Amino acid sequence: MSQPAPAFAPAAVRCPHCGREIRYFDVQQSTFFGCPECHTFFEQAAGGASKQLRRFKQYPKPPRPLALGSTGQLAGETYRVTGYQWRCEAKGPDYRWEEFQLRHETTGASRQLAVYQGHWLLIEPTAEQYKPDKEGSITTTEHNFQLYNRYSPRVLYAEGEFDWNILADESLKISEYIDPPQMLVRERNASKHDTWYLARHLEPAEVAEAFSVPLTQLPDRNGVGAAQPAPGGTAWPQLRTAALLMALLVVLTHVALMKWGNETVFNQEFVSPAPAPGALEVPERPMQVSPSFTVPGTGALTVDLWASVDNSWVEIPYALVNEQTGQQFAATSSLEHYSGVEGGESWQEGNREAATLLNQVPAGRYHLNFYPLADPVKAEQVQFRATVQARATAGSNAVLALVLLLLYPAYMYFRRAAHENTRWSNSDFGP
Amino acid sequence: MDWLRSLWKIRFYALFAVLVYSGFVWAGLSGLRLLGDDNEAEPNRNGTARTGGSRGRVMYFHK
Repeated sequence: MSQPAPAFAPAAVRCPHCGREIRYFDVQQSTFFGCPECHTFFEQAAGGASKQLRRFKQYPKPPRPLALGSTGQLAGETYRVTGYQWRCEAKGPDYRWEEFQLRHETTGASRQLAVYQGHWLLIEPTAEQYKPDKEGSITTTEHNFQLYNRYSPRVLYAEGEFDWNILADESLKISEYIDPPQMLVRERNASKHDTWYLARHLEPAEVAEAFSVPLTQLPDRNGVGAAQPAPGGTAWPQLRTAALLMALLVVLTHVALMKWGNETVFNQEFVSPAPAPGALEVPERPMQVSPSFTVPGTGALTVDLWASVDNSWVEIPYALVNEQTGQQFAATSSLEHYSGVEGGESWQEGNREAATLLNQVPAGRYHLNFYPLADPVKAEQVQFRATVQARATAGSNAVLALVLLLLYPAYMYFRRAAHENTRWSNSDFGP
Repeated sequence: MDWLRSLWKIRFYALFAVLVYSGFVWAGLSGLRLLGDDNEAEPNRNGTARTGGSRGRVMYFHK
C-alpha cells in the first residue's frame, strides 16, 4: 500500500524524460532522483541542467512496505522515508533486497532500512575503522563479528531523492560481518578506501510499529536473517551455564546420597537342595526363609541376588515381610548363565546377578521369603546369595532430574543450532 | 553478583530447576523412587502377594 509523498515536501524537480514533478525534502543535499512514472534515474544539480543517468527496465511490483514520504520513530528519533532502491548482487541476481533511504527529520542524518526476505536491518554510518583478521573476524571489546557475505551491488530500480549517485555504488565491494543482532558493513571503493556502517536487526513488528503500518503490509519472513538473533536471545549464556551447573549439582548430590546410604543390612548365602531322585520334574523348589534383620530407616532397599547357575537358570520370587506389621514387598529376580564353545570360539550369555529396588520401605524388623524355581532338567542344588542394602539410592531419580533439567536447554540448543545452520547456509563463508 | 542478577532473564527456568532439584533431594532422602518400583506386591488382608514373573515362569506364589 504505497502512499503518495505528503504535499508539504518543500521542493520539486521535473523528470527530464517524462516531465513529471517529483517533490523532495532535502533541498540542500539531494541531487539525484528516481522518477516513479517513467523509472528514469537522473541528476539535477542546483541551478544546473538535469542529466539522465539510467532508465530502469524492471521494478518491483507494488505494494511497497513503506511509502515514500512517510515518517517513523526509530529509537525515539523521527525519520522520513525519502528514497527507495531495489538491489541485487552482481554475481547473484536472485539475491534481491530493498533499501529505504531514511532522513532524520531535524538533523538530516541518513540511515538505511534494508529488507531481505522479510528480515530488516537498520544501517547507520560509523566513524569507527575496523581491521578484519585473516580469518575474516573482527573482534572488539564486546563483539566478535564473522565474515558473512561479500559482493558488489547492482541497482535494479530506484525512486525518490538521494544525495549521492547510487549507481556509483555498483563499483563498491561490500563485506558484511555479523554478530547477531548486529552487523558491520564495509564498503570498499576502487581506490581501496573503506567506509564502515553498523547495522542492527529489527523485528518486523518493530518496523510496523515505528511506521504505523499493519504487520501484514510488510513482506513475509522467509528463512533466517543474516543478523537475526538465534532463539533464546541474550538469555542463552545464562540458561546454558545454569543448566550445566544444576546438572553438576544433581550428579554431586547423587554421589553424596550414595555415600550416605547403601548400608548393607543383610548378606547371607542360601542353598536350595536338589530334588529327590525320582521326584516329578517341576521347577518349584522348597521355600527358604531368611533370619530377621533390621531396616534402620524408612527409604528404598536394594535386594541383590546372586546364584551359582551354570548353563541353567533360576528364578527367585521373594517377599520382604515386616515382622511387626505384616506388610509385604515382593519382587522376582531371574538369573541365568549359559556358556559354551561354538566354531572354535567361546561364548557366554546371561547374568548370575540381579538387583531389585523396593520403594519406601518403613523402618523395622524384616525377613525374606524365597520361592526359588530352577531348571527342572537339571536336578542339582542351587546356591544363591541375598544382599540387602538400606537407604538405597535410585539412579533413576538422578536420571529423571537430569532429563527434566536439561530438556528445555537441549531443545533450545538444537533450535539455535538449526537457526545458525540455516543462517550460514546462505553464506559463502562459515564459522 | 552481576551473573546472579542476569539470572532474572531465566527466572522461570531457574524456578523450575530449583523445584526439580528440591524434588530430587527430597526423593533421595525419603527413599522414593520416582520412576517405577520393582515391588510386585499388592497388599491384601490374607497376606497373599501376586507377582508377575518376568520370564512367565511364575504366575503367583504363597506366603
